[in-house]
Amino acid sequence: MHSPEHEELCLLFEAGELDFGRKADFESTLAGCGECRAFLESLKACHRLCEGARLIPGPELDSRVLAGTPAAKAAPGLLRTRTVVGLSASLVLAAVLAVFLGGPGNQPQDLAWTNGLEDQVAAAGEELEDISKSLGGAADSGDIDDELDALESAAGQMEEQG
Amino acid sequence: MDDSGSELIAAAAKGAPEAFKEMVKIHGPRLFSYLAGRLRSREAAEDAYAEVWLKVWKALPAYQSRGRFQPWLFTIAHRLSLDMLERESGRACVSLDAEPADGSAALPERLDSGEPGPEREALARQQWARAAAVLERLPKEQQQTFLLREHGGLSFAEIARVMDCPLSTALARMRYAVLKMREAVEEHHA
Repeated sequence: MHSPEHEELCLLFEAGELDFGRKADFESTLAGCGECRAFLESLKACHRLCEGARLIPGPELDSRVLAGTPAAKAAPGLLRTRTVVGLSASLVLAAVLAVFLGGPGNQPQDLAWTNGLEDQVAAAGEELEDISKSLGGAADSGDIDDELDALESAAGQMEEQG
Repeated sequence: MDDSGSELIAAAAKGAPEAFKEMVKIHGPRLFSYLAGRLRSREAAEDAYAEVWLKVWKALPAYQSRGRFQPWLFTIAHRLSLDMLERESGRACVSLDAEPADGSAALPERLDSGEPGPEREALARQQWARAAAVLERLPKEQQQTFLLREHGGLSFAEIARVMDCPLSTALARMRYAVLKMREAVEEHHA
């Protein structure tokens, strides 16, 4: 005799959640139970209805999702861009220092010292680039910014010392 | 859907953006369909979708891959949708299938319609509208159970855990939901 329990067994059967013994028992029940088979058909109709009506998020929404997670902020491409921008800023700073220290009122040794500073900045920049590469996408780009800030600050201190 | 993407999850947990992007691509349609069915508002479903993924990203490093990923994902989505419905109660929502005021294409804006083409798209829209109309008539718990099973692909044991109820309750809710769906489909054909 058909009962709500049979329909619940239909649900488990259809979901593949009956163990081997219960599955075999239910299969023999199903063979002699028209209402069970009708319920199973309704269940399959629900699947078809939902499958046919599945929504997909648009690319704009997925872009919004990715832009909202730190995954996007730590993307290697962005990291490299920031590193290059930061490195360029350091080199510009070094160039400004070179012009400033190498102006008409300065002695040749000052200029030589500035060239040394430029080399140090370039070396530090290369080191940062290597760090950036080894960190890949997993790093927080904020770390690289901090390193660049520290680099520029060190250059400033060296200028004061000079 | 199985959890064959455990390596992907591990990579995303270590902060690999490409792996995370792939996860969004794989699980996105089911998650978005679930949220749209639950929240019945385009804006709310989109906000929830973005928020769920942000929560997933933050929690991934602590994610224990002992079980399947999907129940974990849908537990987050389920709780968030409950919170949002609570917050939104009393506020007017724009129905997912309402005609936009500007006369542009009605929601759902995109359907996973398989074969491309306007006829298939139109059929998918009709089916979505039918499913949504029936779902709206179900009691909340039956609706949640149905959506977790149909869109989330969760097992009944997993649904019972997510909804914090006995397995027999999850089964009974699904049974009622299927019977009401059947009634609605028969009404539609009558």
